[in-house]
Amino acid sequence: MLFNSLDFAIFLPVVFILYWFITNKSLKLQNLLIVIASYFFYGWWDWRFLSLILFSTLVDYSVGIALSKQSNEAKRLVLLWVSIVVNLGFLGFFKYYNFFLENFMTAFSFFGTEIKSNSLDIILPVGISFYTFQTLSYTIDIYKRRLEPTKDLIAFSAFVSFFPQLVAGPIERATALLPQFYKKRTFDYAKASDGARQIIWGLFKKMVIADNCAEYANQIFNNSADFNGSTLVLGAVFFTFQIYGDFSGYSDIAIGTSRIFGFDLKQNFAFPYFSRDIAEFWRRWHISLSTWFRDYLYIPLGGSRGSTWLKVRNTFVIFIVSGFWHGASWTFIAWGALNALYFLPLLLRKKNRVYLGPIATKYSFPSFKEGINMLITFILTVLAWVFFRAESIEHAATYLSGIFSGTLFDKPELLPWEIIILIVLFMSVEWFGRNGLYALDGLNKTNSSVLKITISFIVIIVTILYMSNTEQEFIYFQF
Amino acid sequence: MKKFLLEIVLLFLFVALAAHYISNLDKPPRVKQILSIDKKLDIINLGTSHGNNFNFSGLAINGRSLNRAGNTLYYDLQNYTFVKKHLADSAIVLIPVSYFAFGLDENRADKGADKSFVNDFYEYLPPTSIHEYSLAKDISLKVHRIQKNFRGVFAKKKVKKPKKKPKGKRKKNKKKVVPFDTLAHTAMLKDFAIKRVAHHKKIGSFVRPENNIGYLKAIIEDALQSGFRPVLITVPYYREYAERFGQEWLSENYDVPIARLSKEFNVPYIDYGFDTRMTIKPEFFKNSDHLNKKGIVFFNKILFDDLIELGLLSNDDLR
Repeated sequence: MLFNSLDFAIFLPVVFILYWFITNKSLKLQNLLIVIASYFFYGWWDWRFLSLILFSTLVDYSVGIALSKQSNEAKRLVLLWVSIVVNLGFLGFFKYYNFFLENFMTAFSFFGTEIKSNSLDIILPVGISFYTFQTLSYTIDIYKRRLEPTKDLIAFSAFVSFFPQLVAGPIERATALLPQFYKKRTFDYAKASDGARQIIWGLFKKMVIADNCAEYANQIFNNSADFNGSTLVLGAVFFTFQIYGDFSGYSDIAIGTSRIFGFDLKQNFAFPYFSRDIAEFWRRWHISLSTWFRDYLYIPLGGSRGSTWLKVRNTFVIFIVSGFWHGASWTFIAWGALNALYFLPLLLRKKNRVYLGPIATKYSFPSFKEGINMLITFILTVLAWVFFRAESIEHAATYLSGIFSGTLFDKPELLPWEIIILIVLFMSVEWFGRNGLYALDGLNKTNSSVLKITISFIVIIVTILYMSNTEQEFIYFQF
Repeated sequence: MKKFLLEIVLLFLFVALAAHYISNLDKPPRVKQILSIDKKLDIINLGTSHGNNFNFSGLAINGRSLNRAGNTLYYDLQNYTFVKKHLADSAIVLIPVSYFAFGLDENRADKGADKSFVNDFYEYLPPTSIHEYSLAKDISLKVHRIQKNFRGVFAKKKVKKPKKKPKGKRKKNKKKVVPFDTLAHTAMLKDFAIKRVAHHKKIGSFVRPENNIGYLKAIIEDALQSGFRPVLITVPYYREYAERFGQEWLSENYDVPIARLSKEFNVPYIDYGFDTRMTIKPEFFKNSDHLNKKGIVFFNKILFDDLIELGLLSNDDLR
């Protein structure tokens, strides 16, 4: 079920009513309702893949309990590996099987050995990369004794399958989300009202910014050989805003929906295109995934400690794995590697933690230096997105060479002013709301319901007036 | 909770009101034509683009064309049902039936993704009248209408009046008269007919005809019961078009069911499909199966005469 669909527009109020008016007397019933609603939400795409979630839930629930009872470290490690193998096994099979097979075949044929093998026609279960990482965090945290396992199977099932963030995150840690299923939830007007606003803002980002940008990004990327350099730049910029509107829009809807049901999810995007260097960008972009990799991969590998070689290795590992997480393609690996190259100079010069605070807190506009840094970071990000969007490495290379051809400063062959103005207005709202958890968060400071309703009304009307007529799926569903 | 629900309801009420207001600022011409009926209609015609051949401006009575390009008999029935309340006692209901009409499915699957003819019906027909009604499509069409109307408001404001040229320099706007090239036009009509007939024969047997015959029956039956006077019509086609269908195909897919319906309900059927007063004259045709302005004038004159002869119109009804 898509968040921007009629199905969800019916589903959400129905679940809301059942949750707050029918099952509100019992925590168990409320959690059970979340499980049923989540399975219904997921099964709407393909009910067959519910078995994967169910199996993953049962394995990790059992492993969690077994880990708490086991004091023998070797046996605990075996149990942890059971969870890792099951979860990553599913992910590996559904997402990476064909990729590895094709690359092995190519590698062998390079050395003159032809291998006959059939690739499988595998459908990628929606959101598998998200919920496997979420359940993995549960078993790893229990193994590391950072978390007590739950004996409440319903609460655990609800944690794994929680529908707002099941298919595209934010990837929540068990330590943060699971305890919320143990506590009685009471309706909080301020929280729900803010949640509803965040949903509206998320829908605007998806349906207006992302989907409109997608039309032009697709047109330009799919016919890149036909366009001049300046149009290719525009295509890359459109994709830059498409992916941001799409993914952060989804996160906003997920967080907002959770808040309506009394849950708090972590902020997943903190205005990343205002970042002043790449290190800051990665602290602001897809925060739940970046911190997951930091805590469960980068730090166990040694992080930024140790020799220069180790720092370089760890940086490349985390960025390449992060790229590979997005999809079984060399383009994602290249995107990760390019970001590692952007990041390394900052790390080696120990300048990767310069910009930790908010941007231009005391002023309405950034300083000249901040502005230049933001522009450079933005340009680097746009160039990296070319790899992310391209069909292949060759396509990315020809796209970039097209950009830096002699036609870079020619008049763009496509110039959709309406979309460009919308992007400028959108980024202006984001800029003035940059110190909140999302762009309209500042409205929480006012007590005026009229103002809040008016702003929501304006956002909805603008969404209706400018939403794209071609409905696009959320990009991150494929990951 | 009450405050939250109240705010949500209020918000969506405001949005619905604003959306409703903008969506009603403008409608497609065909829809406006149907929604703006303010007088009882004495004569109407249904049908596909072939219904464009009818022009009631030569009549002193009130008439309106309710046909729609790409239409099907299913929507002819829905259109008729919708406008029925606006028909005068014993109004004449002209039902032009195209050669391919019995072979079409309700929503024209042959048209692929282009369902624009159905889109218009979402603007005014109730959901129960729309074949395979989809709420999602309804909403998306409403959004599209809102967006179009909103942009229309600004487009109208942008239109600037052309600057007047000084009187002395004003050139006389003479229209160049292009001589009618009969040979070239005839060749075009023939070429067009070949393509059109191939396509129309294909879509004319796209589905089994029972449903379409049923829809046509329903129009005739209801019209008769309501005291209206239905007339089945085949409009004039350029000779090459009608002949290319072949007697066998036309007889099986068209003539037999039409004749049977005419006989069963005792309603007049006027066949202009092979009427040589028009069908052999290329100067009357815009293309192989549509009349041009000149042809429309001539056709309606003949039609009104025939309707007088049938006792459906009187000489007083002519302007």
